[in-house]
Amino acid sequence: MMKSVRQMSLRRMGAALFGLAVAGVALAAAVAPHTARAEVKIDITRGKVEPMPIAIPDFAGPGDAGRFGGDVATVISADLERSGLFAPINKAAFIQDLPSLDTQPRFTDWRTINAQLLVQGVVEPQPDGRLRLAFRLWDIYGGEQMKGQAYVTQPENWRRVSHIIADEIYKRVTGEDGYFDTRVVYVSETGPATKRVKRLAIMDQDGANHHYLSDGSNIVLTPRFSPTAQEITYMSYYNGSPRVYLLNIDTGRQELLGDFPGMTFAPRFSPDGNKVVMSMAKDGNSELYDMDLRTRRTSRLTNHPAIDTSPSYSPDGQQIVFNSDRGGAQQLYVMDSQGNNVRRISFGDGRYATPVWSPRGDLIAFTKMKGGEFYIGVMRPDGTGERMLSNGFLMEGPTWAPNGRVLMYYRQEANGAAPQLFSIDLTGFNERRLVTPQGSSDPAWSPLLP
Amino acid sequence: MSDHDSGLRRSLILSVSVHVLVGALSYLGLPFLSRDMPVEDAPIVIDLVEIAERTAAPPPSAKQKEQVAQKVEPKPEPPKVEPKPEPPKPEPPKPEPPKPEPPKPVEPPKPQPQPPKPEPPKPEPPKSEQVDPTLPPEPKKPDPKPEPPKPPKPEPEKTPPKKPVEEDPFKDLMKNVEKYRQQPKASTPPPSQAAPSAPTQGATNSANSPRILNAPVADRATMSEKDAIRAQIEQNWVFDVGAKGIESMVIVLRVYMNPDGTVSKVDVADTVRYNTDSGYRAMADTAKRAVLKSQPLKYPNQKYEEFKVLELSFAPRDRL
Repeated sequence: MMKSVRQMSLRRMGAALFGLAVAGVALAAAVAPHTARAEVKIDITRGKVEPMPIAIPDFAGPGDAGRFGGDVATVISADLERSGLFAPINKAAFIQDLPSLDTQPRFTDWRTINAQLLVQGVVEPQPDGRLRLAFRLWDIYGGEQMKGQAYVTQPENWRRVSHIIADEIYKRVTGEDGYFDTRVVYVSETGPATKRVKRLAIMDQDGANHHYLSDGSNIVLTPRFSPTAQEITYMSYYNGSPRVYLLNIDTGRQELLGDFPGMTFAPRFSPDGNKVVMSMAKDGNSELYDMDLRTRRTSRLTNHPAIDTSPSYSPDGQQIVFNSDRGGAQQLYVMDSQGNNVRRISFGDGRYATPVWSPRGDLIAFTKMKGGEFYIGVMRPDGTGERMLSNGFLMEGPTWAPNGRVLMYYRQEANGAAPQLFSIDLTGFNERRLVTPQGSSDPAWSPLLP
Repeated sequence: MSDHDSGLRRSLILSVSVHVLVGALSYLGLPFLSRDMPVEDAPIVIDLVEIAERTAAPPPSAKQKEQVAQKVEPKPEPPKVEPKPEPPKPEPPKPEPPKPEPPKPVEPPKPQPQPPKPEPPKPEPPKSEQVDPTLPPEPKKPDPKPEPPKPPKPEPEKTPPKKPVEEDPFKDLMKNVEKYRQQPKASTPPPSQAAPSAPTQGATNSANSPRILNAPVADRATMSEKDAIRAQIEQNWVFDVGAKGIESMVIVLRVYMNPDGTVSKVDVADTVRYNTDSGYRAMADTAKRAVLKSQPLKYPNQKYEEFKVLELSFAPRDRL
């Protein structure tokens, strides 16, 4: 009896061992082919850096509305081309015609001319006199629609809607917000250098819809947009002394900001639009102050015998970058928005000025003076990765496009000609002049329009 | 009964201990078995790089031509180096044929007849860093500019000078006028525009289809075959250096291939991020586009089983 039990348990043990062994083998068998069959893995680390070919045929439309079709395509095309990231294909190369495109894009036709993206659109008049603009963005190689959207608007708004469509395309393709539906305010300069008339002017980002905001009777400097794009703060002279003003673009109403004992300058809005930070100079010393626009209460942020100026908020509003000569030469510093924890971030030779924090948060742009020349450069907020994007006899006043990808600034040559506006991609390529009716300086790029 | 019982127990104990002893001896000591037994408890990981008999890694050699001046073995035969792994031989002995003992089989994993490739050790040539600037993203500037001879502008064509001290690989992909000015533009080799693209393409073709097809190699992907696909896709990959966070982005694609090299499906591995992070999606789209544009992918057709699913990881580090 006992024996049989023992034997049984032994046998069971054996069986268990055998089972284990079998399981082990099975496991090995299961694992081995898996590893052997692992997918082929390939690392791709190189590619081309060049604008993406995009086809933008005229937007199709019946009769009267149809005449907008070509203009809309032209505006979109120009926006995308100017970004340096897209290469619109000459319409003469198109194989598929508009009517057939309306039914379905023939992807092979577009592949033939090397298009990677296709924008197909229509303009349709509505019974109430408005226009309906609709577009589809096609991925030629994937053969699928990446984006589709329609807008109904008054005919006179066609240009703005075109910019909005360009922004949608830009956003879908690059993953970042566009900046085409924006405006630029700047200081227009006319007359001889000794007696220059400076007026505030505003225009669309592509130079269209240009007009003046001031008559030139007072000198204006350093205009800056509020985050709502409805207001501008700038410096002008009042009784011969520079003061910071606030101007509502729509109403034209202008007001003096703050009742400071000294002169105030270099104003800039906080990202939430509730505050303005600026410099106030008195007795040869300048300090930074902020002012709450709701309560009009001001508070002092720096307290140092050196000159502190050109403050600019980080996009989260928690920090401020500014320049100061407290360390000897003029360098860039960052502090909390309350004025604490000041630390220096620039250490190169030369002098640094007009820092501007990118809306994207990853870079700070600045002007640098070194060896008798000016540079527009960028560095990370911790001071690393400094790079000079452009240089010249005189260049200054960088301002970021709202997506933090492109910078605008002004440049003046040694020959005394009037200054001109330029833009450049943060990679340092694609520098372009923005044509203005007169000389132009101190540009400020608006946020995306609401 | 108990007598019988204890006898049985004794013999059982004896039997077990003898077996264990024999097992232990065969494992540890028996001289005739131990002659070349590898040490088993610390398996050495070997990079097994497989190479087609006729290795014709196309892209590297083409490229190398240009950069003779550079370091790195002049021989375009990358394989030479790693192939050490030749001796996958030693493994076979591991079989413990000695005893059909039970305890043994439990550790089968060690028999790594072919240590799976732990990552293509890329015997690639250098990385052409700043040697071929090809074309900067600079589109034609419309330039109604009044004073044309701007100093900074003309320079960009120049390659960033050799100084790869960078903590930031992207520095070289972007422009830095200060660097240009400090280093006289004299020495950098001229942007050899045509070279990269054309020859590579040709080489890829000839390397793949005819030669490798005939090569009596195992059915596994070799470095040169992978290089051919890599070169094909790199030619078609266009990315944006200025995109936010690009330096830390890696896109993994799973590509399902048809026997004729066309692509039946491309999946982004990280679908969650693809659907929530627009920047990631944008870059993943550029990678997908590169794959689709490269069809049909060139590979040795008899190895379809091996190549039918590819895992591609895209991490922009350099410009072609």
